[in-house]
Amino acid sequence: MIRLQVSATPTAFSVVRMVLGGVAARVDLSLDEIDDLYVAVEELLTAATDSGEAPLHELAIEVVDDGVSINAGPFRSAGLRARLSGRRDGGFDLETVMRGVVESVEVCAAPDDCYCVVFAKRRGAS
Amino acid sequence: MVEAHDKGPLDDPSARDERSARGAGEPAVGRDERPGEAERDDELQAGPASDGDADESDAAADSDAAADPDDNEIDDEDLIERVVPPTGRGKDESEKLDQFLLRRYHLHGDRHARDQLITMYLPLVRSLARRYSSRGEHFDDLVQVGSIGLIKAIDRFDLTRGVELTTYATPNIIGEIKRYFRDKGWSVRVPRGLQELNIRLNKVIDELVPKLQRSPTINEIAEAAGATPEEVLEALETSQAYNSVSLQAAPNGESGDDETGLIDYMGTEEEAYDTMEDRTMLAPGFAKLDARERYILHLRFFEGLTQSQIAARVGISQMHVSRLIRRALEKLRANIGEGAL
Repeated sequence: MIRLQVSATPTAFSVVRMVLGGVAARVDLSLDEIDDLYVAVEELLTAATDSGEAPLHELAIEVVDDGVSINAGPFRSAGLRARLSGRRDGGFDLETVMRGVVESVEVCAAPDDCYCVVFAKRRGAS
Repeated sequence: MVEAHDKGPLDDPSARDERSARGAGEPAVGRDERPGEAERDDELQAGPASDGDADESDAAADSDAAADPDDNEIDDEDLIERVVPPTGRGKDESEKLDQFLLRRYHLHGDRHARDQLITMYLPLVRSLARRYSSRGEHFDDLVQVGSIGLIKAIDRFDLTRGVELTTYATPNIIGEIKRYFRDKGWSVRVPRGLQELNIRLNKVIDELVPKLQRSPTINEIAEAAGATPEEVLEALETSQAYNSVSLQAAPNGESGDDETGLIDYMGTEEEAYDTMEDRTMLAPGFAKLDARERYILHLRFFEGLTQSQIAARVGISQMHVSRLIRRALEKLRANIGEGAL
């Protein structure tokens, strides 16, 4: 497992892409699938920052059976949680966007009334 | 916001831009643009001799005409002076005018004909430059660079090859603009090897997708490009590096009243750690100094007083202060030495 603590900035996104791409390449995700992962992570981190979450976010990247799983958080914002629950906030809600590019998106409880977002991209699933 | 990924992380714009522009029905600028001519940037170094589409009969006719310019259908030299809007000319007329001017320049050294050609083709340069103007470089700079490509194309044009100037000039202009980006345009300095690998990867991916009938994996791309997966990932990431972001910019690239900039999120060396180390190292030695020595060192090194000022403050001579400071420092050094041993 690889743990990253990043800010939602273009510079940090670049680092996240490099790390994610490196892990994804080892499980043979295709270029498009890796691109999907990038979109999911960047959307989530941007939404988290927009929702007033702390400027630094934690990501745990893990290789699963035939893909890559990412655990992001812990988050505390109710606004972000609402966007992850299918509530529209103008345009597409975050959940719709994320489900469009990765196979699973789950919101899991975390200590201190926080929650984490766990999502995975699997090889050949899309 | 998420950066654009509609083309995937690789997006060498040249061929795709050319294709999409034509697909969108963008009007040809300067004169008629033949399908496929804009995708010929690979042939930059090959020159007009590499034009496999050249019609042999046209080439022969052109060659004959080149040998005897008086046989040209356009024999009115006043034609050079005519200012005919490119869009107002038919394709045939444009070709004939081009050939006439090219012959005037190459066979007779007519610089005025050369200038006329350059003027006629500047709209093509502007059109091509516009496609690259979203990468952080000034449009006017790109037009200038593209114009150099145009001038080179006109100067190197081979009358005997039977190709149109547009066909030859377009890849030259694009090539010059691309070279500019490769050498200067990347505001984030990316090693040339990575930049070139990035360009190579675009071609490899364009070949692999139809071949595999799916999106290729990093390993497949790496194998086809003769690079390691890490190099491929790194090169792909460089495609994002055309533009730099101000350290004063807001984290999400948005402007606003928030004065927090990217720089506020960047790590710096914490000076307090050095101070802590120094204190930890010096503390045992300080404990061995008497109160007056500690006071004098404090005045000298923390308050920054001169030896004379300390002498006045303590009521002793400057020489005495000097001796006390030296002795106190020797004690500290000795103590640090012991600690180190």
